[in-house]
Amino acid sequence: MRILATYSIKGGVGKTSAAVNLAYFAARSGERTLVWDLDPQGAATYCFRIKQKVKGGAKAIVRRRRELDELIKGTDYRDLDLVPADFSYRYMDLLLDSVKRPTSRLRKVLKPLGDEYDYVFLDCPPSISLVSENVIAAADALLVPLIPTTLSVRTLDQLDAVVAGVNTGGVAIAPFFSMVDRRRNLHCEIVSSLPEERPEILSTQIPYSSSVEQMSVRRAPLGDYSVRSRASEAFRSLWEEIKGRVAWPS
Amino acid sequence: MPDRVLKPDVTMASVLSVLGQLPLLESVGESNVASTLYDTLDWRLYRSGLILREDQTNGSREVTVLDRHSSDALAGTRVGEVPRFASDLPAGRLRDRLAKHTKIRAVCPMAEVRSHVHRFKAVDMNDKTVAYVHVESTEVPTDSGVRRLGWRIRVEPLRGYDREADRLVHRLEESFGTTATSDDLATRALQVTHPDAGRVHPVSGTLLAPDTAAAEAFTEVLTQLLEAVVWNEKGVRSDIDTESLHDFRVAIRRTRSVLAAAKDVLAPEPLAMLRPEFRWLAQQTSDLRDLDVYLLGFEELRSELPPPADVGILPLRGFLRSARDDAFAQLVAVLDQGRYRSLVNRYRYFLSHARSTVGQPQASQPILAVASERIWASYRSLLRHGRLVDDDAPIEALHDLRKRAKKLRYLIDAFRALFPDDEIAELIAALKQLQDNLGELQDCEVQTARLEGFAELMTTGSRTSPATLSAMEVLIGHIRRREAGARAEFAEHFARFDRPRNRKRYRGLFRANLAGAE
Ligand SMILES: Nc1ncnc2c1ncn2[C@@H]1O[C@H](COP(=O)(O)OP(=O)(O)OP(=O)(O)O)[C@@H](O)[C@H]1O
Ligand SMILES: [Mg+2]
Repeated sequence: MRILATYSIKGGVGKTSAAVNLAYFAARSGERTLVWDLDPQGAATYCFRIKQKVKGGAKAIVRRRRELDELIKGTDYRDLDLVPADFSYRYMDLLLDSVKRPTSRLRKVLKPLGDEYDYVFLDCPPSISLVSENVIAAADALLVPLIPTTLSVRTLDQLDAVVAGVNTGGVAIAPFFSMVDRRRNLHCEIVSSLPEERPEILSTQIPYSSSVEQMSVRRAPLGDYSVRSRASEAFRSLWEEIKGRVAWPS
Repeated sequence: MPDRVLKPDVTMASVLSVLGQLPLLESVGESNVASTLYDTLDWRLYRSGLILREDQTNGSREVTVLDRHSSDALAGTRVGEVPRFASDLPAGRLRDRLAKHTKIRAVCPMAEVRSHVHRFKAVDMNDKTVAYVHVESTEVPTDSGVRRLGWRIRVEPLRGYDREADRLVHRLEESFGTTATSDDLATRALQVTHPDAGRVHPVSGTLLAPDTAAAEAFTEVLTQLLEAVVWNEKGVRSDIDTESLHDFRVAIRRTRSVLAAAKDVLAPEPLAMLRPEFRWLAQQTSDLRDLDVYLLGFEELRSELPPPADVGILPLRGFLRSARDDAFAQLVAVLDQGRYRSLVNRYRYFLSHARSTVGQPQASQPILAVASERIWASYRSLLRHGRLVDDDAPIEALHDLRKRAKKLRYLIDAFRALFPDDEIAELIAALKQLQDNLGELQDCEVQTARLEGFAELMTTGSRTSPATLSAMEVLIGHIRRREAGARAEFAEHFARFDRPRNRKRYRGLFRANLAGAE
């Protein structure tokens, strides 16, 4: 089981869109896939038409009164399941703070599912918190959407600093460009120059596309209603590229 | 929640039209699906209430262990190929489950189940799927044409939607005036292809009343052993599982032991005819079994070798494989031969009349007394000979002892149901330790002899490299050392077997039952 987290310190950069679509293509290629929507907003949960509700809430999970296994919902897609978001995830930080070894809790909670899934996607709220520390400690890789701006570099530097502060088993950082608008010169410039400085940036880019915005209306992954769109194709190749990175620490 | 099944008392067409009109239920098309049910040749899964199912959909293959009475899935995984042995599977629940029941047995296809399916999805208010409803009509191909297994409605809940699925099942129960149950489709399918599904021929223990007349009891035991021979013959021929040959040989050997013990119980002329024939049959199987054992243990043997011998030895495996193919072809030819067929026929005819044998001195004595006497005598002779073996005894003396120990073991196995089970179990455990030691000696002896033989054969074929031959010499050296170790341990094993507590147990169990015992 590999754990991949879509993560960024910044909000609205495409984390949820990436988690949903990458998970969809992972499952389509035959990998047993689980999405855990950790954001109390529940955008990923909504996208799969699943109700936001977790029996016993965040407390039951953090205190391990309920195994994650009992909370899993099947999506409408083969090999793709989801652990829904819950309003109580807002208090996850406080709850985590009250247990022993708070940063490795998520990893522990996920561990029993090791036989059952090939990939787990964690969709995180934008923040620096105990939750994000947990995510960084649990994940094999952080998938970091980058909107190409002059601040992109700084975002990556900040992220490095955050990761350096967490005791991880060796997490890979895999940034990729998100919402790339080819009509804007600045985007084109950054997309072509930044990878020289930051070779860890994945080569697949997700274009800006209205079809992605439609996800919250259609309540489905792109592949369900718009397989042939450029954005859908981009997520599919991004998945292939991510999967191909076998050198990731496990 | 497991799948639920409804079998309404109306036509399938009317069910389809009702389902088509129910709110929150949408048709998602029709398709043909096929799955295959697997078990070991001796039905280990079936007898434990389970079965292994393979499903192929969209190019991926899944294997699942089911409760065969309810069709509930207990563990499953996606695979590239259907495993032959539990150990072929990746670590996990499925492997553990399978290994627990199949042990070292291979699984093979037992039945194919084909269904034509109309599929519906049940959704909630958000248009989220909560369950699938399958209306499926099923058939099973057999040698004598296709057998229909009827049709049914199956509700398959999506994970995490048990409550919604429950509600749906209630709705369907009301609509069709019937109650949902679990489904034993797998069991029914297997019973169509194998009317004797789950039946195995006991290799040990036949239930007998202690006062049964000896002739009848011997005939009963021998008849069951004959069935085991014939049944395992099928497995030997199919060549899926090397354990079939092992069981075939065990059944033959037990038959020989019991035939030998049948003196004074069954008519002497047929016994005199049958015994050498079974010895001949046993001999026909030895080559193949030896080669099987070699190949099964090859990797372990190889791992004992230091480099470069561990690589140098590899050509031996190719040689063994082709020798094994030859031996298999030879054995099949023997099984097709008139001599074997007529042995089985004549033996069967003999047994069909042997139950009521009269005129033999012990034919009508109670089986408890006769079996006890035979076991006691066999035990006494094993002790007598064993006590004569010292450190200087020739290896032949140990081989002789091994045969006597086996004879004793087979007799105890054949009649064990006459005696208290826990005591017999302990007694067998003690005997088995001695047998293991003697068996190890014999194995080493046979292996070195065979290796030397192979080396000779391989040198006449010019392509064998000196590296391979020297690796074989290293191997022979290893086996010799193992043999010496086993030889050195013999005295200790025998002393254990001969200790007072064990002697007392034999006396208590067997001598006490002898006719005219004090
Ligand atoms: N490639 C894209 N093209 C156009 N719009 C996009 C694209 N990716 C995301 N969006 C839109 O941007 C908004 C934010 O996207 P998304 O929810 O995926 O980001 P996020 O990082 O998960 O946000 P949050 O931090 O709020 O969780 C959404 O309205 C989404 O539809
Ligand atoms: Mg989000």
